[in-house]
Amino acid sequence: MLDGDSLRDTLLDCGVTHIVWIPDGSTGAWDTALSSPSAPTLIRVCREGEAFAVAAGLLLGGKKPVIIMQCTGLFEAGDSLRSFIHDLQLPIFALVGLRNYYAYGKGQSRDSAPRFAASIVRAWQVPFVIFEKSSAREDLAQVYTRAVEQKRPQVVFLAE
Amino acid sequence: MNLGTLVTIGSNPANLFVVVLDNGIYEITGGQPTAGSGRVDYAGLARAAGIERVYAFDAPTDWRNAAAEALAGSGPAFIWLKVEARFGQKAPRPMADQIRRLRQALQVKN
Repeated sequence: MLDGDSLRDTLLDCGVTHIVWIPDGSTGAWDTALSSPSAPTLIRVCREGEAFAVAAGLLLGGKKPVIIMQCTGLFEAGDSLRSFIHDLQLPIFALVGLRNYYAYGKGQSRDSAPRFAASIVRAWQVPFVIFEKSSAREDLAQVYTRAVEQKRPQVVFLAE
Repeated sequence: MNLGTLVTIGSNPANLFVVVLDNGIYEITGGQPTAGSGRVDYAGLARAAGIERVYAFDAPTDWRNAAAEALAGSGPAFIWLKVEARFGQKAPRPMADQIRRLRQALQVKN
């Protein structure tokens, strides 16, 4: 299972230089790990669409950024995603909290966010995977490495 | 740019110069006024967001006289140029070309 420390260490091993972050209820617990001196440079942004712009600028400058945000913010960032990933062809890598995934699956939540997340990212034609509790740092390293090798964008949903 | 970006820049000081060309209108859609046109103090917003080097100019002579200072040293810096609205300008260079030139200038190879 990924936690802040394992996520940070995995991203470091993968050569990630910057984390562009808007926390949610789950990834907010990673604050200490992500802001530690040994972590990739942490950039806290105000809005999710802005996160794509910052990541795009870093990519254009030869850096290796990763975005972390929640799926609801990703929905709002749609036009930014479309522009940078499809028009500018930038291989942006995003870790996206999938709010209420487990509760929705058990019929215990009426939150519509998990209902639409995969469909929306599929419509945006961005490859995605869903990491559940059993996913480990090796899985993240593998997905990241493959995306970099193939020079394509990638969304990794983190089931919450 | 959204206003939150000013906070991001103020919180992550980088060698970045933001130059706002404010003509007060949406030019390509027919000249409708932008929200808060003529009333919003962008320099004040930048300062309040934590950007220390802030400049505002509404006269070409003032800008010419102070441009060297405003663009010198390291960022972040915010420069607000209040300019006249003019119609019929050529569209900017295609984005793909802009990106190629930017990456070339930054000597980015990957």
